[in-house]
Amino acid sequence: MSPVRPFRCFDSRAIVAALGVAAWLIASAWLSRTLAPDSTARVLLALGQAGALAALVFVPLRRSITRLDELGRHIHYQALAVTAALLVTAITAWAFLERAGLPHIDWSIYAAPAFTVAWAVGVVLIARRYE
Amino acid sequence: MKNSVRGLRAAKNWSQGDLAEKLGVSRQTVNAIETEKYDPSLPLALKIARLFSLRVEEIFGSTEVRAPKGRGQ
Repeated sequence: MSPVRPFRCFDSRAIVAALGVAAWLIASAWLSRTLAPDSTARVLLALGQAGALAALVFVPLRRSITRLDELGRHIHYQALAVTAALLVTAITAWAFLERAGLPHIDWSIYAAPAFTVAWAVGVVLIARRYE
Repeated sequence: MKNSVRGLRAAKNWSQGDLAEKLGVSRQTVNAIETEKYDPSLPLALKIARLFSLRVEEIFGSTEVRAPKGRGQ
């Protein structure tokens, strides 16, 4: 049996990018409080936050996965597809449960960490099939 | 899909690492192909075939070559 090492794609530059985006999110959140609610500047600032987050997710993701060979990419794409489907299902299902009285979950906070953890678990489980 | 990659590699006295290096993939990918847990993409299958100077169908799947179905056949 030969162990598949799907996490060798990890790019340490992603940590630097994550710290940069975190600093931007904190600074922009502080700046946002000084602006009038519903102002154009505040909307633009929010768009900047969303853009930084999207860049943080997609640029390292693409860079990391394209470094792998075809089996590694196959494993990651499968894990991403399963994770995305599960997360969408979980968020929708929880919305129904919230209406039934369960506590509210702010998915803008929990979606990204939940996605990352589920993706990592998915990669480990799917990689086992090829060992 | 069945394949004869392991036998062909052994005939050349190459390790999985050697073959992986020649193909530009990881050793784990070569192992997954040899154990028939992963079917390579067409470009990789062609690369393997060229490396062993064989046709793809001689390495992967049935060795029987089927005539294409068409009119008048």
